[in-house]
Amino acid sequence: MSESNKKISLISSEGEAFEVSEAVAREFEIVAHMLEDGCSGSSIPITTVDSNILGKVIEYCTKHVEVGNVEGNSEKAEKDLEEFDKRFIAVEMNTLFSLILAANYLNVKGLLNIGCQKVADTIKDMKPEEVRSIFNIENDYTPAEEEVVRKENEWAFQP
Amino acid sequence: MGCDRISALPDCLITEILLWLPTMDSVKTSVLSTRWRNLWLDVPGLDIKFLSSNANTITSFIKRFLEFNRDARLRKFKITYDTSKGHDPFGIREWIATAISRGAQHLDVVYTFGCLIPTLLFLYLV
Repeated sequence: MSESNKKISLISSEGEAFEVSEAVAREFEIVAHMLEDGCSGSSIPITTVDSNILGKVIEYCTKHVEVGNVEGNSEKAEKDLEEFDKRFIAVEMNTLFSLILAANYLNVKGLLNIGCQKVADTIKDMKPEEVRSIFNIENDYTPAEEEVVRKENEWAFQP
Repeated sequence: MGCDRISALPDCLITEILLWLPTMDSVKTSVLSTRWRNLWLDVPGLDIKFLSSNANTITSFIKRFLEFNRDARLRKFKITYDTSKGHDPFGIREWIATAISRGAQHLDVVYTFGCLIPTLLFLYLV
């Protein structure tokens, strides 16, 4: 019990401190490794993640730790968590990519998965032209080059 | 505004995103821009549906895909096909063996019979 009461400060790129329980901090695998490697300091700089995104990642991890600690009624808890994930990841595109990068850097696998899945859901069933427009991708193929690429795997482009 | 954040992701994160897509959609991203030309080839998984109209094309596609990156670990392998063509018309058994030898930790096979419902075979390697 005493271990889970221990507090750790995670410092964002702007220098803002977020105080979290050790259990929540350990959800960041990168932090868990630091702690295991004997990094005993109570404040850990997360220099590549800004306050806004770090706050969100902490919110995600806190919820997952809370639900993981509840005993019994696991089916309902799982459903609640799924609902939470769905709401949590329903963010605008810029935030979504920042969350994916942060989740990858901090090694929060669950968050990385729902982030990648959300982007994939946006791409699914879309025409390439639509995908380009949604994500602002500039088509740098010449029409002839694009035609060659299409031909290579023609089956995928058939309706 | 107008910033292309998805193409700016490192390759390993783009393929992580593509892994959540049916292979058909993943392959289609090859025409988005030159950045996307070959990224689908590095996706560590397959999710493919056979239709009677495209069976031969798909068979040779899967063979080529499995031969490319021979040493890469496969995390997901899902094939949907209709068994009215026979029990194992496309050599699926061999692909399953290949998939297992390339990192299967968990195997889940669902096999359904029925005249109207196509038989489905799902194999997930997690």
